[in-house]
Amino acid sequence: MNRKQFLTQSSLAAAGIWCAPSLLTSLRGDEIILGHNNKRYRINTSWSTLDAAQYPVKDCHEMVQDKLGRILLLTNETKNNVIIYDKNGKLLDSWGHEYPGAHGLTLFNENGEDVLFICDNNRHQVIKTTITGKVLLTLNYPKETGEYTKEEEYIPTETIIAPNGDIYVVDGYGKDFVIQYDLKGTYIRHFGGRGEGDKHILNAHGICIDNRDPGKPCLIVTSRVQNAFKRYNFDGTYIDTIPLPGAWVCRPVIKGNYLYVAVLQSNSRIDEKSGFVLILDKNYRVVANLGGNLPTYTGSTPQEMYQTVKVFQYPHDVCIDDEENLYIAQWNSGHVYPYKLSPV
Amino acid sequence: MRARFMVFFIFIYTMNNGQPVFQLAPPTLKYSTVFLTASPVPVEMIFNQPGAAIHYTMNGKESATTDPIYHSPVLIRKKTILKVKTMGKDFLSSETVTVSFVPAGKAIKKIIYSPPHESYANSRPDILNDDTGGSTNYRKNWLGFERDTAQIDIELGKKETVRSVMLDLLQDEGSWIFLPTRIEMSYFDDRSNSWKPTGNRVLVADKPSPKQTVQEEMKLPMGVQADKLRLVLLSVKRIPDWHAGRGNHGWLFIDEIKVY
Repeated sequence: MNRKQFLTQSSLAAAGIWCAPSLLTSLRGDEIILGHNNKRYRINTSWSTLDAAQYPVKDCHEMVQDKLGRILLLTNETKNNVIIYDKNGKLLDSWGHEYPGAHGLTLFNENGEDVLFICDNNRHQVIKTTITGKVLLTLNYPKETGEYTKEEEYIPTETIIAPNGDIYVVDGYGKDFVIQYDLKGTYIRHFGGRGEGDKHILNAHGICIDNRDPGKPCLIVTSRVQNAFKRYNFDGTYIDTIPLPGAWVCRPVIKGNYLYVAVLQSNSRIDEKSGFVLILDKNYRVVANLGGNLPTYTGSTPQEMYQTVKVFQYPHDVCIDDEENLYIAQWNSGHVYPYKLSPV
Repeated sequence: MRARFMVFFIFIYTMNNGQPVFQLAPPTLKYSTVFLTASPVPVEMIFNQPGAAIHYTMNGKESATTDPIYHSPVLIRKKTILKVKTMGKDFLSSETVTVSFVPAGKAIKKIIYSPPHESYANSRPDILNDDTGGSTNYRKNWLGFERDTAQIDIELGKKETVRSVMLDLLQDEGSWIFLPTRIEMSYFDDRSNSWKPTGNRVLVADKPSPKQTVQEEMKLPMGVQADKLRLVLLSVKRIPDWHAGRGNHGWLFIDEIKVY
């Protein structure tokens, strides 16, 4: 390990004083409630009932809920890469020993069956599996793009599957391209990548499909180091940028009318466990910041956001279950299991 | 027995309705420099958390709830140690943010230094005497070295009585940035046409330290007449065992030199 590998990655605009209905307020005595406006939560930091000696985790990278209502956690601990919980934090199952760089976990309902897409940073591959871990498809480094000469240049972090089955992979720790394949894994096109100009990306860490406006569905791609999301049409044409100053946003996750995103850290306190969790409305305006300040807006751009309470260290993903509970998985946070947040 | 009681007490103290008591994050401080010239330096403190406030002192003492609450930018006009914390009911107070503001000192004509790491090869030539700096963000205005020894030659441009030299250093062990293990200082003596040692300092990194800037002042007991000064900084060749980067070479960061 060298310093560059060890490190992950300031300036701060003045924050106007704006008191939301509640940022972190007391409802029951001095209990802490996280959030703002109509998105407020009670936190349970000991939701997971697992024995760390038996079911250890390293980085808890991403979480999804399957059609049975179970909560799946992906960790890069090869003793149990996938841990399956019920909503009360009780272990239901675990599997996976071959994903040392397990990072991205996406669930797709394919003709009624849940399938998973795992991005492995170390293997430089995307692996499609059944919900029980049987491998269905493996995508190697995309040399068809003409952008890569060896697999080490490709470090995929996330996938999303379009309704037609097309697979979009973001190479968030590699060259920041979005690579589109058909459902069988045949290369179609690529876009994004690093460079000057709005259509380019820096740290394409996550991706999702926003279909809240049925007439204008689009892809939302993270540009984490730029503290922003970028929107693209499904053919890769750039639409616009959603700036989120101060927020090292990870994967966007859409549930209902809201977009949820774990923020790895505050840009004003890099490498200092300064993460928080944002919730944006349909117009991409921040309506709640769990563990941080709620920014004021000047026009369409929020003022810089930052952590205010050390609830989270390096939050990496948000899973929203069918009862609107949130589960927060954290990277490099002392092997901590996910936290559960319940709406109040 | 006392230890067990303390552990139990701390456990009770940090739990609240079955929930941990969370600590507030520190505020963000915005200032242009810590090196004071003729104009006062405004310091903006940023932290918007209902139920919490920013408390600060300007005398070097830890801030308490009885100390002033920040409302608008504070003007720093003279040598000051500013200590700032966020505090609020139902939360543990944040760690302290400390910033030392110091006079800019004597005019420096030129500073010549050993080649820094290639990431800093294109730094401005006057980066060590541009009167800006003092940020704990190593990406801002710092010069980074990964070599065993960094030599810094200071030219004042004319003979001056020098009483001390101050180095503004960064300590950010989480980013593998350590203070030097040793600082040696000398001045050029025209009469003997040679460098004369004036003192040295040994710094020991035997335990973790908070992220901070450190102003190391090298005093010359009698003051000397000199127009050229030399500093030699020895860096951490092997990161100590208590650190995650143990065994690797440490980094050395410096952003300003001041002569008084």
